[in-house]
Amino acid sequence: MRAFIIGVILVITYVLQSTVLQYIELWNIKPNLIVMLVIYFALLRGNVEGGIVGLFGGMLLDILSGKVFGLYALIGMYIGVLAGNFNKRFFKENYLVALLFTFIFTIIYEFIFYFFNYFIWGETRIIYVFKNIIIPEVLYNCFLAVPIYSFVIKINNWLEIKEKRSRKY
Amino acid sequence: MPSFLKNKYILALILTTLIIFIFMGISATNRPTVTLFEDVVGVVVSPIQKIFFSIGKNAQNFIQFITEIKTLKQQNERYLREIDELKEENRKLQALKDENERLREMLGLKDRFDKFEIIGAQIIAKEPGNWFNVFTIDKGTADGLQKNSAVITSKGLVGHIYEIGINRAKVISVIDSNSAVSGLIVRTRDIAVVKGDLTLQKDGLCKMSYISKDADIIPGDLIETSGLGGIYPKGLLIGKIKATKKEPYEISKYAIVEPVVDFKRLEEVFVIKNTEAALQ
Repeated sequence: MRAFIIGVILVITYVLQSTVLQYIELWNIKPNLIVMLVIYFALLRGNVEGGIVGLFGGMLLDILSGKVFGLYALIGMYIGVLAGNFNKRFFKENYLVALLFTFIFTIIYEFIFYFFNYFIWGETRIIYVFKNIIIPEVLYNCFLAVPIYSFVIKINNWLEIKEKRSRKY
Repeated sequence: MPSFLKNKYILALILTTLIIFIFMGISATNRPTVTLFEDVVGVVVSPIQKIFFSIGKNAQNFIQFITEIKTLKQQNERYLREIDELKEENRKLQALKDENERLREMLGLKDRFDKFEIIGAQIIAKEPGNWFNVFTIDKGTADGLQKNSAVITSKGLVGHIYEIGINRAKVISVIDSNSAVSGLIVRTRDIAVVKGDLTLQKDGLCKMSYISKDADIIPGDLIETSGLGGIYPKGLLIGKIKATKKEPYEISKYAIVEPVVDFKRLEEVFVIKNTEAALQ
């Protein structure tokens, strides 16, 4: 049940990301909703679920939009695992924590992506990349962090209640 | 066995990583089409993307219509005047065209574009991130397309197909930093490489590198495909030179190229079906 619902959410998010999101670009930058979902599920549910959501979200990106299969999937999985490792140390339903996580893990995610796609191939203008791509995207993600985190919390609570009920019988 | 391998989660992480590495290797090879699994995902998601893409497009068109309604009347009057002028010019050009055809026939030249067999395609998705300049179209192997088919609009070159499934194909545009096209400067007949550039692609521009130092190029020069390189047929318009710059410490120079295609507003494209025949 949980896997199915999260799968559907990932597909819808991917579709939005690849179609209508280009119309709400700011300074030619769009937010990265998939990585936000990965971070929030990791924050709420720990590193195993974070890793799995990251893996499948990444695979969706790889199959439907990527250049080489596997890069998005691997980065997604490791970001999920990494973010999930902190999930016991923070009060989870705190929006400041979500904001902090969005900020830090979007930077890490985009930097790893840049590193493997460009830096090792000789595109080393790292200051330009940070100034014009990574930082604007991080800020845009942080701007959307509160509504999206509250959506993920709602979905997660709903799923947890359902799971508890089905465990009783 | 090292102790960390006893943790089943870490073991699963390592195994998944290795499996993905294997698939990465397979997908990086020069495979003609995608795997069945990728096709299944594509068949399921493509129709949904198509719907959402058109919703976004229509919403944008509507907002544009509202904001532009004031200027439309003035524009309309201007266009009507222009139409009259163009009609007159068209008549003159038609005469020239007839003459040209007659002369060509005499010389035995065939119009090279007659050889192209093109098929229209809709864009159903654009790049979900902020790094690449790739998009997805709604035609695939079922419509007779294949990997490396050239993609154009009525204006000029867009790019080529780099991955293809049954009902969808991923297209890399010429401004993506992984793209390289052999270009010919029409006026001077110089040949150089038109490459995408990470810093230029956000403005919809690309770069023409390795132009010989002596080449007499000026802003405004038109660039078309040279036909070298094996993917793009000869004679497709790429764009025009916007500025020329000297490469520091190097014997060549480079130019900033403004493509004729507006990649931000791309919605429909044409794919050249018989790229191989057109190349010969």
